[in-house]
Amino acid sequence: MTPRSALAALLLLAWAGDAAAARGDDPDWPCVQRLVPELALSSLWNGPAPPEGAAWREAPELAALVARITPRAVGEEDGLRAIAEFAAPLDAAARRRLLPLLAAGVAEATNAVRGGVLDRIKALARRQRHLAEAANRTAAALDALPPDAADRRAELEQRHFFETKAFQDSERTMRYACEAPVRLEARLGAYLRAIQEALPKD
Amino acid sequence: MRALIAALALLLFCAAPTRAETILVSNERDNSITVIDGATLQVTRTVRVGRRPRGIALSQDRRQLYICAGDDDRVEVLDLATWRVVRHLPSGSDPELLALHPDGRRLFVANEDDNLVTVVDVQRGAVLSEIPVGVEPEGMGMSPDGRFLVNTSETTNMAHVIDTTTQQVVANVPVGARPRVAVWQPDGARFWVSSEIGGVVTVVDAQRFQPAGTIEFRVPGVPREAVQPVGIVFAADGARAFVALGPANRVAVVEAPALRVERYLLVGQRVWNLALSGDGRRVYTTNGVSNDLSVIDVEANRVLRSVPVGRSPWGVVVVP
Repeated sequence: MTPRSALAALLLLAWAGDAAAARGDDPDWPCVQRLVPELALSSLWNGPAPPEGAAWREAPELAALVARITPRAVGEEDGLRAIAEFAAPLDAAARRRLLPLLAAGVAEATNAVRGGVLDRIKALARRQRHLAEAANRTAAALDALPPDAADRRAELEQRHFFETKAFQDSERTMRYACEAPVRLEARLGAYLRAIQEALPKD
Repeated sequence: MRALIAALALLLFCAAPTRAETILVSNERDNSITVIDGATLQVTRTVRVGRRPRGIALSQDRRQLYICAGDDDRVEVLDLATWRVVRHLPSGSDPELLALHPDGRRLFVANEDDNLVTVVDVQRGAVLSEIPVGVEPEGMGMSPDGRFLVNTSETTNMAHVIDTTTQQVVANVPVGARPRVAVWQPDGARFWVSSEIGGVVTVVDAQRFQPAGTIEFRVPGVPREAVQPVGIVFAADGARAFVALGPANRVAVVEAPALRVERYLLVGQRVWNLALSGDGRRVYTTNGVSNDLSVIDVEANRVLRSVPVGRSPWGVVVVP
């Protein structure tokens, strides 16, 4: 194997290895942590179960708060402040009624945002696999060239250089992308703990 | 003069608190060790160490902490009096988990990248041998008598039983998918292996090295793929075990002889590893996503407190 085709094979292996280690059931999942498609409210919340369905949407003040604190760009501290401000004026009965609904709302909305993030990561993984395969094919074509095909060799070498570079750039992006669902999960946990803390103790 | 000495002695006597334990947590993403006072549950200091610290273990005299610094390809030795890294030990590449032999000298280190277990002499700071094992070795469980080491390999889905004297693999036991941690019962009769993707704990008979039972975990309302067993710790009397269930954010309390799940306790997010307090009354958990340590009251079967630590807390040990 030439150094070039060895590198290409390594790229493909690196991709396949990472993916195989973590995917569990989903062949497109590239991150180290196993894919958990949906964050269940029960995995984060010990409080009273909210009613089934999306009753939180029917209370305009709840729907507005959920819409304010669950977009991807909202910082955890800002979200926690908004939850505290919402809960502060409520009496015990209102807290018992509204806070479980708020919990259901932030969980549902965060899952929607997170679902989009997961889809983008999977698309990135598919793209990365194609890049590795293309680099591999170019390397094989280079190996198969007759010694006198200098022009063709120069062209393929350049192509191989760019394919390899694109793969490596994409791998860096992937490492960063895999952090995004973790940040959303952490923020949802912090929100739910704060909501649970605000429930009347009895 | 005598009066002065007496006064000083009295002062010292009064000032000496009841001997409290210290909790040490490795923070994978902060490259640090968080030090927590067990009596007050306050963080007393944070110590910078090598890159990507994960597995940690106490020296036999409890004065030093061995730290796998994975991205620095070495084991660091942290002095617990001066809080300085005083030595580096060779470890092979990317050390993740380690186990100290009861002889206090031989440290067994899992090298995830090289499919090896490296044996290090901690006194001489030298590699004694390398033992080939399965693909992506991970969990390291030393039997209470030090005769056997159980190493799990993530990709091969096996527990490899290594005779620590001959350094030969004497048995390969199939376990659930992506095995993580291997822990022996205090009586040495069985060892338990957690499987992160399989979602189970396989219990292995240590006489025949055959699976003797499987523990499954079903947390109401939590999807199966979120149940990812990792850390295991036994209560001091061996009657109960605690199993960390990763992103299910639960610790399962298991009746050890019956292999029956008693209950699930909600802890911080992505609960990874566990340690028992010196008096056996508390279990400490590292929570990798919520960046905290949960404190479980064993008797009351409930979570007492959350202590914020560094980013991606991973390993935890208690210094009595």
